[in-house]
Amino acid sequence: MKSDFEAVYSRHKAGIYNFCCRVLNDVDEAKDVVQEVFLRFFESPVRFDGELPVKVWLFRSARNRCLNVIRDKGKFSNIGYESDSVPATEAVDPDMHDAPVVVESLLVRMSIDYREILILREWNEMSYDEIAQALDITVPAVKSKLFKARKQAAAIYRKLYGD
Amino acid sequence: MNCDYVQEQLSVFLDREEGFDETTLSHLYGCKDCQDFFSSAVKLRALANEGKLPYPDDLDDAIMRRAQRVRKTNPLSYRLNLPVYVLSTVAVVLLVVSFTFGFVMQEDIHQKQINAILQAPPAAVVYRMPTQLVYPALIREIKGGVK
Ligand SMILES: [Zn+2]
Repeated sequence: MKSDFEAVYSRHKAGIYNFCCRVLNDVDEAKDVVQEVFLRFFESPVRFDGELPVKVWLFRSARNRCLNVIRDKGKFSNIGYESDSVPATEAVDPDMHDAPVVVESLLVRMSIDYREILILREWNEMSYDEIAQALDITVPAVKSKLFKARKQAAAIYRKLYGD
Repeated sequence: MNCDYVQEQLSVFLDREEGFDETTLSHLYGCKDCQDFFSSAVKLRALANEGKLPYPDDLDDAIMRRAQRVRKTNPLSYRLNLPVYVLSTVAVVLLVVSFTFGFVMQEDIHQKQINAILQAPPAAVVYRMPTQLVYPALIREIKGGVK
């Protein structure tokens, strides 16, 4: 019979891993963060106060660790995204690329706060309520941020691949 | 109608969340910007569905190995995944219950002992294994007497 830990781990590992990979754009760093998140959960259940759903707790923990990595390394310092900073390329048919490459090229150019909320919604399929808890913001703020994130992604996509 | 408001609503619609304002649809039919926003959001969703990364097997091994190591270093620890306040409440309730019932039972025992003394008849009751003595000669004599 599976332990509680194994059940939680097998249920959420893929989501947490995809989130970390997308946010950090670095597989090795993502692996480190995923390990830390799950071992923290395993080692210190006392810290898990039961007020948050496990899924939200894990994502919140992963998100904080990813932000620390980004801050420590000074990676993706494009906190304030500027559409002009995306180099205009000749329109390339995105079908020529495989989806992960297109996705990576989009996300890496987005500002971190829009990138993370878009990932939580599109890759992790979290509800607005869950996103609000994971990012510690209100549901109306989630609505507004998601719309802006999609707008930013669309602008970058147009610059890279045309309409 | 403001395009930003409409696009925020379209975003809500795409996510199937509550509170979608249907009146924005009439704006969508006549606004190229909002149509473009919606189609790019749909395209992004399709990309997300395609672009999921497979979970690396070596991560499974690494995490399970480290978890085992933690378990081995604390062989006597036992995990109760309950919030501290629940455990404290249960402890207090058990304490109160044990005191309350303890007193009640003691009271009850005293009362029973007193009642037993008051109501007892002034004769001693000796409990023993039931025995039967058979004296054939005596039985014959009784039967003869009845006759
Ligand atoms: Zn419009």
